[in-house]
Amino acid sequence: MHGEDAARQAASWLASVQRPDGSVPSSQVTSAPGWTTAHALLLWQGLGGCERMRHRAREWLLRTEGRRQTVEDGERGVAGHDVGLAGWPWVAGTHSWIEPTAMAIIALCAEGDRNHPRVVEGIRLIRDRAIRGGGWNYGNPAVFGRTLRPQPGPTGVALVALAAYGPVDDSIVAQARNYLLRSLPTIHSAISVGWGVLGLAAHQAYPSEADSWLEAAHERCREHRDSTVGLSLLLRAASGQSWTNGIGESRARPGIGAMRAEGIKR
Amino acid sequence: MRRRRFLTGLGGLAATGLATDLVLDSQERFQRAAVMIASAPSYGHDLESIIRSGLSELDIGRAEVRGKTILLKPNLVEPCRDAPQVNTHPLVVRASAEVFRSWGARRVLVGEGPGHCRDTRLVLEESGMADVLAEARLEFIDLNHDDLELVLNGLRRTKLSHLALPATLGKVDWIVSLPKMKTHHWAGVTLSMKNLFGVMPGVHYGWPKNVLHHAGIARSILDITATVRPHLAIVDGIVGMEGDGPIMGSACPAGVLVMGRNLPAVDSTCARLMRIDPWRIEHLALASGRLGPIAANHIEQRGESIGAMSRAFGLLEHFSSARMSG
Repeated sequence: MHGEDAARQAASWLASVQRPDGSVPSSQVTSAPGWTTAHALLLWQGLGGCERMRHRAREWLLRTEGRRQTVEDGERGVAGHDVGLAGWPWVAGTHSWIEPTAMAIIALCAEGDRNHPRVVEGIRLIRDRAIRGGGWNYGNPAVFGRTLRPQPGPTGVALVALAAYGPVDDSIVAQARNYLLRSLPTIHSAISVGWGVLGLAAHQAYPSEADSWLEAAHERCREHRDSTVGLSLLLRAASGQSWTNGIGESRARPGIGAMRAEGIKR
Repeated sequence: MRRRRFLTGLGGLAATGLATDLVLDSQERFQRAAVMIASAPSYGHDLESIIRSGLSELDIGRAEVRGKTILLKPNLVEPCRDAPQVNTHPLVVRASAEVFRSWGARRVLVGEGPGHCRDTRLVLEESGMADVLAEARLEFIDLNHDDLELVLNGLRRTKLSHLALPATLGKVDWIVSLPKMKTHHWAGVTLSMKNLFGVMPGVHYGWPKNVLHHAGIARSILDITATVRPHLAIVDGIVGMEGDGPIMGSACPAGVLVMGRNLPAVDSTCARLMRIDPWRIEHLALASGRLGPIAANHIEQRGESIGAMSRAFGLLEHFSSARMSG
């Protein structure tokens, strides 16, 4: 099956499971959570058309926000971030975290909602959750005064979201770039390398060694047949496309032909 | 308590409710359990022999294990290359697997759903687990991304009527909790019961599994334990974690492996080994009488004595009252 045919089939299936409220659940077993809605919206955007589904998904995203919490005296040091900011949660009724917030921002910016107050606040949240020293983890920069460790996957997706919102080059971005450039050479996990390279590319920081990182991750990825998400991210990173370009013909680079062939076979 | 409630949304744990629970939970006089404490000074020792002997002391052996499919559930919480106190050591997982294989287990799987990292493969690689799994030819199941099954909440200590569980749990005969012996800045300790947060699929509960925090950490631990009903626990206390666990604490070499069939009994024994009063750990106090015994006189200690092997694990200030006296 040609890649675009497969993508259209997937888009139709996602449309068939979209809930009346516009959300796309993460599993057919349950009607929630709907953090996957942003992912579905990105696919529908990439393929073009699908206006009705996109409209409902966009409306659901704009209605959904993470739980805001209040800070009592002396409690700021417990969380280490501004718990009054709202982005997007994994599950309705819970706190906001980096990946669902970033994915919602990427999808909404592609829908033309760059200046929507929800997106603007989401960007504030991402910046507030940056870890001192560079990068992001799942969304807890510090707890009880201890700075937590960054991770490449959340760092990459946060950088992509910041770039989708608009060009920015400040210390938060620079520190995150440096963290990725330090950590990615020793990492071979497809999801982390894929998001990490996408994050660097989104800020025009794609290093010449990145092709070899992607190839090494692809080699490791081939050992695991359940690595569809990782392979997809590697392909996206290897294509040289930014997220706002949609799903189209990619700019092939030497040395990644095997990866692309593997992706098409699957 | 105020600080913990702030972040976790525990909200509903009113003092009067807890008092009622504690009165009920003191009724564990008909419950008994055996727990094995084995000395294991380092990961370089023959862990397979130590675990085999320990389980034999608990009357677990070939006759019971033969033909069973066994899921080992280690605690792999974060990708950390330079902090061996964070995750269950891969050699403990491997040794456990080899014991069950040598006793004729039909299949031994390893499964985990890390709570802080969507990229489970990264956690496996950074923790050293990936290499050991490959060398030992052990199949790994990413419980965060497994197929889901909705099951009735077996205890209903939270308001969650159902729990979404990985389908793999329903396909195995035994679930073995293989935690690290650690302090925990919200729960006090994280041992074989708290380790079960890792079976809850991230696709349904998120990263972190924030739904369970809002439902109440202690009560969620009880509901999950009662619903998943693990068959055995083997706690990696060779090098544990003290202080700001479960992630940022310091290494604390305790030199023990603790084993048993009843998880509250195992965890309360571990707490005593850490010189922490189990009655002051909310989920253990709530488990007493419901899921097992935690009183010292209701637990038959086998192997080494607590007195000989215990050492005081450092505690954050808000858990300092949990320190055992004497």
